[in-house]
Amino acid sequence: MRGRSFQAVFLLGVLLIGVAYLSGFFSPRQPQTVALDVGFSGIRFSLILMNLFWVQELVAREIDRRVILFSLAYPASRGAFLAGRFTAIMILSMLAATVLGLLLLLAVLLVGGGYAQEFLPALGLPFWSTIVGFALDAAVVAAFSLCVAALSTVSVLPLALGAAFAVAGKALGATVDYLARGASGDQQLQARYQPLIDTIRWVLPDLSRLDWREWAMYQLAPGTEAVFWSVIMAVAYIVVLLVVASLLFSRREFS
Amino acid sequence: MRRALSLTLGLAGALSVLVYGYAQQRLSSIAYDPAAPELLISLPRFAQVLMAGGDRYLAANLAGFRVLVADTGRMAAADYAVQARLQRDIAWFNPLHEDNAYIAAAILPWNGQLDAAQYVLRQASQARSFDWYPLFHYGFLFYHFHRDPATGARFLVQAVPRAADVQDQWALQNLAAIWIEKGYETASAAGMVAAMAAESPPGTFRNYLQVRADRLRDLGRLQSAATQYRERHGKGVERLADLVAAGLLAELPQDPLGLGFGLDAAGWPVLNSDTTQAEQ
Repeated sequence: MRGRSFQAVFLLGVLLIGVAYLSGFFSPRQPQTVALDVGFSGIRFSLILMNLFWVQELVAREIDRRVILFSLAYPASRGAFLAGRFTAIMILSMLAATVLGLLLLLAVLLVGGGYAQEFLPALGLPFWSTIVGFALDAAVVAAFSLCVAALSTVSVLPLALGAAFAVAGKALGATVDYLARGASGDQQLQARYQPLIDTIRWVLPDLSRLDWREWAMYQLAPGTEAVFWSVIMAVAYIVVLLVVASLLFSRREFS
Repeated sequence: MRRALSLTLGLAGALSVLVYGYAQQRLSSIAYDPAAPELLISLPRFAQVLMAGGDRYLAANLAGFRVLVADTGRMAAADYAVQARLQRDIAWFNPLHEDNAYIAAAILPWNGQLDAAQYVLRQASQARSFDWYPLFHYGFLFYHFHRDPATGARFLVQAVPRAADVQDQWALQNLAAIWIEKGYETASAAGMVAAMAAESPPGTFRNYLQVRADRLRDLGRLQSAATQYRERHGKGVERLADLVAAGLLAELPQDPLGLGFGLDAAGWPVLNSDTTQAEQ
């Protein structure tokens, strides 16, 4: 919490909520929905960055500075050490998501300058479900980053690869959709990339499945089955990554 | 030795400051190439998604802001083509985007981008199953731009169950009946564009729509006068000024867009699509 990088990212999150508030004024028909949309993107971006910095602060940098040797001297397994760090990151992430969510709610309620849009966003359960989805999305990214940190000898690598994983996982849904709809008629592109994407889908989770913002923005609830399997997919992937991380970490030698 | 190194560094620094200043001075005298900054390029969809961190909703909003800040008052045909591509992309990223559908209906078809407007509104009509406006605007495209009131009315009827308000349901059914019964009427189209303007928040966008509505209303007046002229003289007008000379109009309407009104080959008043056609 005292890390400067965390404070900077949290400040960035607050700033992005401010940007969301201002972006609402661009919209002629749906200022609250646009503010909510941009705010959701800002919260997702901030949560992922915060989680990545926490992984770097709490694990990667400790390894880099050899401080980890003191932590590992305690009578607890290395797996328990990683699980503890991951739990701490999750608690911090949920706290940050709650604060940013409350700020976004305030921004959305204030935006619009008195213009009453016809289709109002749903700011109750749908809003908080969306925030939970983003927190879960960020948790998957944190678990991946932790896995990289367990193996990496360069402290910045978990941050860089984690960010790339977050972008790739989120863009996967759009890519699959693009190819499924015929790739704008480019059959060569579809033939070349469809098998590759079909393979990647088994390795890389589709993080866009955890984005339920349409429920809050347009009151279009996602299907229960889709939400259920998306959550199961994310939690299972986190467990797999944590198991792999603890296996790698327990075999790692610190000189 | 150390002193010599300091001296060399100091000289290098001073020289760099001078070179930097000279370069800045030279650059300030070189003008930028003229370019329309808002709508210069349209990136491939996948690049836009990647630039938005994989977030297709953010990609839709970023493209949407580019469309919203574009100054329609000084845009050329090529700019509208880029705007049309951007709006197609937004409709693909997030077909539920209300502003995109609304702006597509209000701007694109009037500026030579009818296909793009149809694409955006078709996407919005399918996605926004709770909203009757996209179907209404989609129907209006057929009514006004394709001169196909029957198809337009079919989409109005499809929109009826989506209207929560009974008054809106009646209005849609009534309008569909009028379209089928009377066929195309410019004054009716002007009334619908004016209604769109009235529903928009105050500002540039509402003014733009109101100007479009005024222009159509004036065209309707010209066409009405041309009909009377034909009935009275048994022939069509050869110049718009004939309508004033015949006492059917006090004066020719001034087009707020500056494009003016003209006559088609059959002597029927039409909107000019560029300033070279202006007759006024």
